[in-house]
Amino acid sequence: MNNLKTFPSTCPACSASLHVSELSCSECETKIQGQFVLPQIVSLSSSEQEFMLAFLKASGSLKEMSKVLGFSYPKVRNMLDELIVKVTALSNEKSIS
Amino acid sequence: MINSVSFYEKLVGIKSSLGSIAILIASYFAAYYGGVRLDGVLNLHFTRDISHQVVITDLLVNIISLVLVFGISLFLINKRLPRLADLLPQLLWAQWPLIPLCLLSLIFDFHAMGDMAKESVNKEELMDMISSAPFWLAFFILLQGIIIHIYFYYGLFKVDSGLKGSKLGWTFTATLLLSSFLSMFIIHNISLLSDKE
Repeated sequence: MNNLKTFPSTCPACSASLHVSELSCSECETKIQGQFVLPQIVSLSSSEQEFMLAFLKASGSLKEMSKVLGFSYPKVRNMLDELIVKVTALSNEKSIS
Repeated sequence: MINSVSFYEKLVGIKSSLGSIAILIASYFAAYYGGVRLDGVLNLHFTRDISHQVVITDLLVNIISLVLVFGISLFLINKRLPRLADLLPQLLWAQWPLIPLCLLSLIFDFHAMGDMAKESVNKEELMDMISSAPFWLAFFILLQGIIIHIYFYYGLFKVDSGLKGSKLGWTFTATLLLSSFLSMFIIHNISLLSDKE
């Protein structure tokens, strides 16, 4: 289990979004094949996912976030704004497809 | 040189607030003992005619003008009001390059240079002064200090607005010039009022 790698969200060859085609059980090695859509959060980069988790842990307080991350309040506010723009764009992409 | 953008990105907590108050107090003493009028956000005039009241008025008008204009500008860009608890210390931190500049008069006799220019002494004396090495050294130190001062306002504006590219350039220039004009306008009118009295 320790050999698990960081989950890729985009294709390393053409940068298109990826989908899951196979799931396997680590206990009995059962494999399920199909076309599964990735959750929206997985489409974010690892640093963006960490930011979202920190935001959740801080109960949505940007002031608390700025203390935890060591960044000024306006910087944290801008990071959140950029994340909101990205998540909105991803939602729009999904609703179109 | 310090990167003003990363400086403002990491300016957080009570230390930043206390530091900004220390800079305000240091600016006051530097302006008074250096004989400098900060009669505008980007202005710095060496003068013998200085009092506690004048120094305090200059500093207050400058900071009020900066808070007003930067606040409105950031509100228009981000569609939300910036927090005064962040903006005020940030603006005060940007004043630090003025402290060593004010104290330059203790090394270079700017007051005598100013007097000579005002009295319009004979051309030869004036040319001697302008062609002297200390004059140019002082000029370049002042110029560099003002550039660093503006660079810190730039870092602040970039972090707070989140803008990039040419839009950042022209909005920052407009904001800084507007705050400079506003402060000069207020200080000019206060001077007129006190002259009437």
